[in-house]
Amino acid sequence: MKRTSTLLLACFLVALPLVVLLLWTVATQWLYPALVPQQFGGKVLGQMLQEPNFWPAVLNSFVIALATTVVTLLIAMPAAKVLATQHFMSQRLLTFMIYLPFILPAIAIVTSTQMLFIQWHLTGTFTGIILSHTYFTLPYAMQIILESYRKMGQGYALTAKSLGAKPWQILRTITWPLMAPGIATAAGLTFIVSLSQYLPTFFIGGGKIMTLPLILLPYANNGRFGLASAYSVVFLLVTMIGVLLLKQLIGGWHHGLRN
Amino acid sequence: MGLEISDVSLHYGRKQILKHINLQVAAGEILTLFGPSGVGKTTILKLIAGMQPLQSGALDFRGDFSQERTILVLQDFWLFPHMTVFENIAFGLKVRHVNTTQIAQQVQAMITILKLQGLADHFPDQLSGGQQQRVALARAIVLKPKLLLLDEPFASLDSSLRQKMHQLLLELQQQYHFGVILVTHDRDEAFELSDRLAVLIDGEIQQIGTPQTIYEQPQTRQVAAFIGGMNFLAGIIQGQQFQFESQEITVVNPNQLTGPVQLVIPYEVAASLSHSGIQAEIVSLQWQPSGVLAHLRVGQQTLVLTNIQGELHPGEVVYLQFGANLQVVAN
Repeated sequence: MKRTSTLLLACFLVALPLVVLLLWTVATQWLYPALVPQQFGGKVLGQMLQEPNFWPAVLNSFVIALATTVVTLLIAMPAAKVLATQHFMSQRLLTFMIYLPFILPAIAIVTSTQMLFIQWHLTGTFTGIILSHTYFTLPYAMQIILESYRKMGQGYALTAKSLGAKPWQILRTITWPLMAPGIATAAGLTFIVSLSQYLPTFFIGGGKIMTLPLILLPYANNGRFGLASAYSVVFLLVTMIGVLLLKQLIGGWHHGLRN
Repeated sequence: MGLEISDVSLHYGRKQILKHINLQVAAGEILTLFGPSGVGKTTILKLIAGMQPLQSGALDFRGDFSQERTILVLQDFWLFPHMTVFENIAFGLKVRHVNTTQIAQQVQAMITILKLQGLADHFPDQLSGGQQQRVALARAIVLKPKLLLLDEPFASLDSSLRQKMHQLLLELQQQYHFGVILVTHDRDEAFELSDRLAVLIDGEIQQIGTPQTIYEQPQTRQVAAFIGGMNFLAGIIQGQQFQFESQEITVVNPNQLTGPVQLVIPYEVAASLSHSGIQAEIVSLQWQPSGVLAHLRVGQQTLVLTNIQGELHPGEVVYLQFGANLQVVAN
């Protein structure tokens, strides 16, 4: 009984802001002190869909986040493999280095990156944005995948090697399926973090490439709660679709896995 | 046919792990690397299996021995948790692209030989320790290895199960005629399974020989101490003559030692009562399943023996003759 009520309370606390978001999205009039909107309608939704940048922003956000996830995993997986088994660096130094992007102020990184990227002609390009996002997503992915590697240990890969498996066979049949839960978590988190990036997209994209946060934030700042809420709902949907897609792609392979 | 390891050394940074290791394994032989933990026994296996690059020295696979036909079975089995018993055993065949019918046949044969019937579709976490061990062996043996490297294979099993697994390993080895390098720190296991024993202490091979030689004639005090259950009798050696406590007997002195040394007398060496030999007074007797444990006094020193033939009485003075050539080691 106590357990159920705690669970219900948790659900309520999570759901409450979401309900407010949804109400704002379908409200045409919601004035103080009413608890629910006085008038409902599709005006806000219509406004959002008519925005010329709406569909490009959704698509850009999705593509950038997905590409960032792929790039992040491509860097984090081999790096974590090496770092999980190395002996030349202390674990504390390693952890410090992984978290470095969090410790350094993002704005300093972004502005200096922008200067470099201008020279390299990467500003205003998808490549530039994806690279700058990757910088901020790597710590999350590294930490999760590193932990997965440590937890898995070297024994499975060594055994597979001894039984005659080639490196790509080990990756495909042993490492990948065993790490799939960890990789899926890392991928999902990377996707979410990339999708929420504002600063690097704003600076490196130079306004040429629109994403959801770039449209959403000004509305929220200007008190246009209806539109901001509508965009937030879209934002949530894109996040969920992306994370589920990644989970399906990565996690779907470990059909035999127990635990 | 076989494997010859010559002059293999290994450093991690400044730390020396292995010092000039020389070993040979012949086809169908069980060689045991026996030593305390952390002396680099597993490292030797990894070097042989090619899991770790060789820094110096050479591995010479002869005849139909090769690194490809050498399989390492690590401690704790490492059965792939996301694969069934069948898939685990089939793994090595699958990565070699053996066709499906042959895989099914060979895996089925292994399942029968290792008594894993009915478990083919089970996952490793549904198996007992003994079953996991048998799957690990099946997974290696199905590949018809020439040399099997076993790292503490029975360490996690209880003692009665361990006995059965020893027997099974010997049977499999007879049937498939593979050489084995076994790593263990368990004395009984080393004595029971080995054709030859290599005692590894501090990254160095201290002695190689049959279990009996190692037990009865350990080369150094370190080897004797590691094997355990040894009496050390202090005295003076001159040629073959060992003088102690105003007695003198003839012993083996392969290292040509002179001066103060220790005579090594294993607890369980066969001893019989006689009219000459080491004179000792029986202090106490204690019954044990393996024989009567006798505490004896030789002058100021004490002896423990468990394998004395004949009637013993506390307080009696006896003369002991030993069934093996006793040997002296340096202090």
